[in-house]
Amino acid sequence: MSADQWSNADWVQIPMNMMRMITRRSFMDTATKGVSIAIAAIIGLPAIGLGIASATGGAVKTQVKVGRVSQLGPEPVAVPISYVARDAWRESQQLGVVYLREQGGGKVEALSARCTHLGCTVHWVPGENRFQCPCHGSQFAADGSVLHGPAARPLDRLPVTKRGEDVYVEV
Amino acid sequence: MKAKVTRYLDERTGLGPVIRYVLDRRIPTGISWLHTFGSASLTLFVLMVVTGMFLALNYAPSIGDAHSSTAYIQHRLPLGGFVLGLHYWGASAMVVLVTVHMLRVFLMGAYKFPRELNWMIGVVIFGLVLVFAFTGYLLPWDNTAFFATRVGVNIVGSIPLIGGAMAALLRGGSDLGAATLTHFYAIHVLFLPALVTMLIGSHLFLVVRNGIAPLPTRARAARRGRPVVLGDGPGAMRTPGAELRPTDQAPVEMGDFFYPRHVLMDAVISLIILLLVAGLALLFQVPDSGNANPGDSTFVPRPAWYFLAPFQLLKYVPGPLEALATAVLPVVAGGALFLLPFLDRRRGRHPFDRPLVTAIGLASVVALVALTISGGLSR
Repeated sequence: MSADQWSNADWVQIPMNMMRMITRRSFMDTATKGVSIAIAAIIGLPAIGLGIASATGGAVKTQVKVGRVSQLGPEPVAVPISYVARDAWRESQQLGVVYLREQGGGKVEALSARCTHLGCTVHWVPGENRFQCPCHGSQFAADGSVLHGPAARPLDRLPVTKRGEDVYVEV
Repeated sequence: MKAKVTRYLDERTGLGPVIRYVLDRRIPTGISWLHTFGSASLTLFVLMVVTGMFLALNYAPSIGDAHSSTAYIQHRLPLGGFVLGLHYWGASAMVVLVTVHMLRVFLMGAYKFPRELNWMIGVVIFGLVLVFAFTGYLLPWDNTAFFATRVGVNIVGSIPLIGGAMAALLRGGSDLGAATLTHFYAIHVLFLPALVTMLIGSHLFLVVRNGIAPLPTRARAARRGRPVVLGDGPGAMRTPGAELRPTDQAPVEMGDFFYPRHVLMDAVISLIILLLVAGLALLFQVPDSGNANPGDSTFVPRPAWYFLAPFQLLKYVPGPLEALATAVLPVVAGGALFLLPFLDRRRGRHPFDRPLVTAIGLASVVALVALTISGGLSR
């Protein structure tokens, strides 16, 4: 900028105008950011919410008849189960296995056969009175408690319902 | 801290000057609310991509599962009905906005030198938006989707010579079925997004490269025998003695900066349109006419509203001339739209300086609107 431009009589106005422009600009700058955040929220939040909410979907719990109280004793027995489950938007035939035992007084306990370490199916070793996981060697007692790691948590107990003599397990 | 991060990134990406070039460019004076529909369309595209991705988490593109998985999203999953509604109403909003954007560019003659290529890219994007809408319509696999798509594909099939092959390719066979759904799904979520993303990138690049077209000015001076300037940029034509007026000069030499004023306008319009779409999604459930049943002889197929015009047109065209409506008209109209910058080669950009082109364009819009309305009213 040359000196004679600065000698112009209007020069005092320049800082004033610039100040006004800067305020106006910074206002619009902030407004743009605010509106942009609102846009991102409308686009992103419902969709991401749906993504997270779909964790609540999937298979629906159902009651499966597994046998009669009189067939059970104090030692766990493997009961294969087969049932129709509502899995997200479709119904499908599911197969599985649960362990059942009668704890005395007609009280029935059901344990999931899924190892609490990484999900392998455990099997009952009758002579040694324990569950054995074939994958990483976890061992569980007849009541599901951990005898030997790496599993850190007892076998999952499944809710049991009795209707007369019939035993139902929620899977 | 912020300055440090900015510097770190800038040293490694060199993006700083690029962003400044895009944001701190001057745009012609008078660029205002009418110039926000393109960016609003872009916002809607982002909405469609994001909602589409999350809908796809729980959608199964197979004829046994498509309808029930859509219902599962809509009724079982929290927010599912809302996100489905955003996608559904967003599609309609997209068709409207892209059309309005194109109409604005048409009326302001912004497709002329040096922006012919960007007009053509825009016309292709417009066509692909319609293909997006057509393929997406089938995915819920309800009766409306099934029967409207059967009619739509058969219209393609009625095109002489190549129609049969095109329809078979689209359907993956001779009738709508399992392969049609996977074809439409793949086109909708893989082919089109990739294609349209590239085209949008080119479109935006050219907008920045060539600048936003200045507002067209009337070449009124000519009649009074004064010197005249027509067009803008290096190709501007002037009669001897005429000087380039500010609005006829290259965009860099005039007007306000793009950021923040115009970006704010873009953002405000985008937000308003998103709020409208969200309002529609909240108020109106996405219609579901039940799992597609090809054996249903009572179902009356209706196309989506944006396809009502061709649907209605076929009612007026006698059978032997059907190819005129299904093949000749779309090819001629689509071709004319695509090649518009080469059909209208005059420099004048103001709509009144090219009355024939303006009249044909407006007459086409009126015809489309009339056909759509009569299609919507008729049973």
